[in-house]
Formats: sequence, C-alpha cells, structure tokens
Amino acid sequence: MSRPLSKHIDNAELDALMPTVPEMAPTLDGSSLDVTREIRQHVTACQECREKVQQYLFLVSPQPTEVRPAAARGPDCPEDIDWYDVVLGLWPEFKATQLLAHAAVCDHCGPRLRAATRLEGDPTPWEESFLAELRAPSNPVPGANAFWRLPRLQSLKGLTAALALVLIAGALTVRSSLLPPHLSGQEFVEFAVASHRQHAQGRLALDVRSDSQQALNEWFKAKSPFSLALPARSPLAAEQRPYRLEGARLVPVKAKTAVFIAYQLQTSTLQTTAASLTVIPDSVAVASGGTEAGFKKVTFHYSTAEGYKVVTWSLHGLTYALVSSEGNKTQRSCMVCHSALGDRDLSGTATPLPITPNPLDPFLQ
Amino acid sequence: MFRVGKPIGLVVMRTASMWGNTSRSLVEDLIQAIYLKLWEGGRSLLREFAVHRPDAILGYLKKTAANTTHDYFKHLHSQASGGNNAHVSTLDVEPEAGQEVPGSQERVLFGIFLNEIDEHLKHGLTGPDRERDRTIFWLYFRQGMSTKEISTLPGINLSMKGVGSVIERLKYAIREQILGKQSGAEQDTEQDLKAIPAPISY
Repeated sequence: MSRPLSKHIDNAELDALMPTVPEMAPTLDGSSLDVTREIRQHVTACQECREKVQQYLFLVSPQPTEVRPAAARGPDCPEDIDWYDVVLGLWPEFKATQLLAHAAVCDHCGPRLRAATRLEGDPTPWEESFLAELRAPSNPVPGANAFWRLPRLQSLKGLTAALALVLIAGALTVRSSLLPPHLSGQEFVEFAVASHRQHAQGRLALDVRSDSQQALNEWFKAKSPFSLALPARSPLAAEQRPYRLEGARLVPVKAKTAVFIAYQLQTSTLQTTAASLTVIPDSVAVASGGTEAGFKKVTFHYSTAEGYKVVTWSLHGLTYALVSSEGNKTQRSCMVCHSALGDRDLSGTATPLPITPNPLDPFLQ
Repeated sequence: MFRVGKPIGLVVMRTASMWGNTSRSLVEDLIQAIYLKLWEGGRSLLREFAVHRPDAILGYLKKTAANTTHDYFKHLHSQASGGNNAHVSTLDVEPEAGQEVPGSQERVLFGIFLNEIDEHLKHGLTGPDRERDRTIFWLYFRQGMSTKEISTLPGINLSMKGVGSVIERLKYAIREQILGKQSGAEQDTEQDLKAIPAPISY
C-alpha cells in the first residue's frame, strides 16, 4: 500500500530514515525501502517536515567527535580528575556516577573520558598481532644483577648514560635492601598520630601557613615529591566551612617524605579542635587494620591511638591518615575534603567505632 | 603475571600511540619497566593491594602501566624542552586535549538545541535510573561513545544491548518532542518516555 504523499512524517518514519544504534537498527525489506523512498519524497516537498528531519539529524549525527575541537575547562569541571581512574572503577561508584554525568554534557571533560575509555576496548586484530609479537618481559627476580634492569630505550642514549644508570640502579638496590620498604598500616597510624601530637604541642612547625586550599595546592605543587591537591572549590564561603586550614609541612619518614596538613575543626559549640591529614605514597604505606568500613572502591580503616581517632585509607596511589580528637558520633573532620567535593554533610554520621564516653564530647558535639 | 601481560601490553601500546610512538622495542621496554615497578619491594605492595582490593587489582595494574608510559613520554618531552621542567602529573598533560575554538553561529545554535533536548530529558525522565539514562544519552550522542564503551563504565550496570535500549527509548521521546506530537499521540512527555519498554538489565 502506497504512503499518501501529503501525510506528515511520524515518529516511526523519522526513525526509519535514520536508525542510529547499529545493533537496534531494523532490517529493511524491499517494501520498507519503497516506503522510505516515499517518506523522502514527502520530506523533500514539505518544508516543515524537512526542518524537523534536519533538527533530528543534527542531534543523532553530530559533527564527528574526533574532529570536534576540545573546549576549554569550564567552571563546573572537576579538578584533578584522571578519567582513566574513573573508567577503571577506582573511584567510589556514587562519585563516578556524578563525574560521568558531568562528562556526558561537557565538551572539555567528555573527550578526556572518551580517550580514557578507548584505552579499555578489546584489541583490534592489528593490536592482537602486535601484542603477540612482543618479546616476553624478563622475570624480575629480586637480587638479580641490576644490569638486566636497563631498558633498551636507555641504552640507546649511549654507553656513558647506561653505565651511570647501572651505578644508580645498583645504589638503589643496595639502599632498598638496607631499608625496610614501607610502613605497616599500624606504623603509619602511629606516625600520623605522632606528627599530629607534636604539632598540637608546638613541636612541629609548619613550612607554610595558609587557610587557602589554592595556596596550599600551589605549595604542594612546588614542594611535594608526589602529586597532591586538596579539593579547592568549596560551595561554602570560608566562614561557613566547618574547618579552617592552618598550613602544611613535609615530614620525613623511612627515607621518604610525607605531607602533613593541619587544620582546625569547628565544633557545634563554635569552639575548635586540631585535626590533621597526613599523606604518603602507597609505595610507602597501605592502609590496613582497625575497624574497616568497606565501600566498593575504597576501604576506610578506623582506629583509636593515644586517645586520637584515626581514619586511614588508600586511594589513587596515596595513603591518607586523618587524625582528630573528634568523638565517634561525628565525622566532621572528613569535611576538609568532602565539603569541597559537594558531598553530603558527615557532621551527623557516626564512626564505626564503639561510642565510649569522651571527656571532650560536651565540647565537640 | 602471564594473565595480565596482555592487558598491560595493550594499555602501554595504546598510551604510547596517544603520544605518537608505537615502536615495538619501546613498548617492550616500557612493559619491562612496569614489571620492575610492580616487583619493587619484593612485590609486597602488589600483594597488599591484592588482599585489600581484589576487585580492583587489574585496574591497579593497568593504571600503573598507563602512568609509567605517560611519565616516560613526559620525561622525554621535558628533556627535549630544556630538561629542567618540573615533573608534571598525568593529569596535567593529555595528548588529546585541544584548545578552545570560538564557536561558530552553527555551534551556538547547536548548543541551544542541545540544551532544549537536555531540559526535555531532565523533566521527562522519571524513576531511579533517570540520571543514568540521561548520562547514557549524552555519552552516546554528544561524546560519540559506543554502546559497548558506555556499558563498561562504572555505575551504568547495563549490557551493551541494555544501553542500546535506553538510547532507543529516549530517541523515541525526543522524536516525539521534535515532531511536536503531530502524529496524533497527544500524550504528555512522561508517558512518551514510559511508552517504550525499559532497558534490559544484566
């Protein structure tokens, strides 16, 4: 049966003109092709339908993303996001969901997410054959001669550079054999508490004093041996935030360097109490022990040491220890990051530790 | 390690490709460097991670591979540019990142049209998956990601077919919006969106 030429295009016909999801596309038989031809004839003749088809075409066939210029960073773009972490599921799911929702409509972050996603696709036949032809890596046996550790890309730079690297590699091997490789979870807790206590007693001066996240982040960028940044866009004005940053310093530990960040925590009675965040690469310490609160992508370890509440966790290559005198009924100290991330207020959230009477509670709650 | 050799190799190869270099010997050397990094400290770090985050161990390995590769090229680049540049994190440099180009009129109009569609989605979608469905829609149409790529993202929790179903359902509603319900289906937007079966979840 022939389609009336004067009939305006309808939903199914518009779809039939431009099916866009290949796996959902209908298979057209001969008669369907005839109808499609008749729809096109109507669209050619009808200005109204032509505009609607063009509009729909605009949506479902946008400019190829590969040639679309990436946009500049917008005011809502999250800072310090490695989109590959998001793709790999290394972020908590609720946060990953927020990030994906942003990237979906952002021409700055979207292309970065897409690029990260494309690291994860199945290998193409060409990639398969490339991988199959690769030389198998040597088994890195601890204690083996350091010479085998030299990658060929270094040796290409010449014998002098190679010899220098051998000496460096040898020195590092000897050094690492003399020093314990890293702290245990409990040792890291003790280190963080000791730093916190020393600072509270005025025996650990800060290298930089500022209540500005941006200023501290600049300092981290210049001084920290590892990449570190505090979330810096709090939706709250400085005076409304439940904490006030004091400053930071570097603290040596096990021949490595930790970053110590001190801040004051505001209690509901408008008093303040000291809190600190100690950060170290997870090659030095991985959070463990204590009472665990596991989320899909991160596990928090709660413990009490020398009267302080300590929360440790490892995420994105770093291990954190948050030390405070806060009671177990609240987690206000976490807001130093969470308020800037726009997450829920943890001021009323209890810690998964036994709630024992705390002499400071009347002041802290 | 044999089981993860291929994923690591693939990440190294693709990351190196982003920097415009897929020389076989370079990829082999980078893989070797990654193994070394993973073996540091008698693999204790790797073991601890595997114990604490068994679900994320492959992600950890891939992340290590990508970072090591990026670091190599950044180091090479900084040496080529004078050698004294401070170390930059993997967040600072992304080969695909471009510069803003002033929008043409067509681009501005397209932006307005996209906003209209987005408003329609925001108001028309209901239920617990409304944000997820909106995200899927734009990842597909605005960012050009495939249904397969979208289905692998965390929090999507749909198969490739399920993602396709969401897109088809929302496309139906958008077509209705564009056509102005001239086809006689005088339903409201919410009904439009509910008219198509929900996606298949797996």
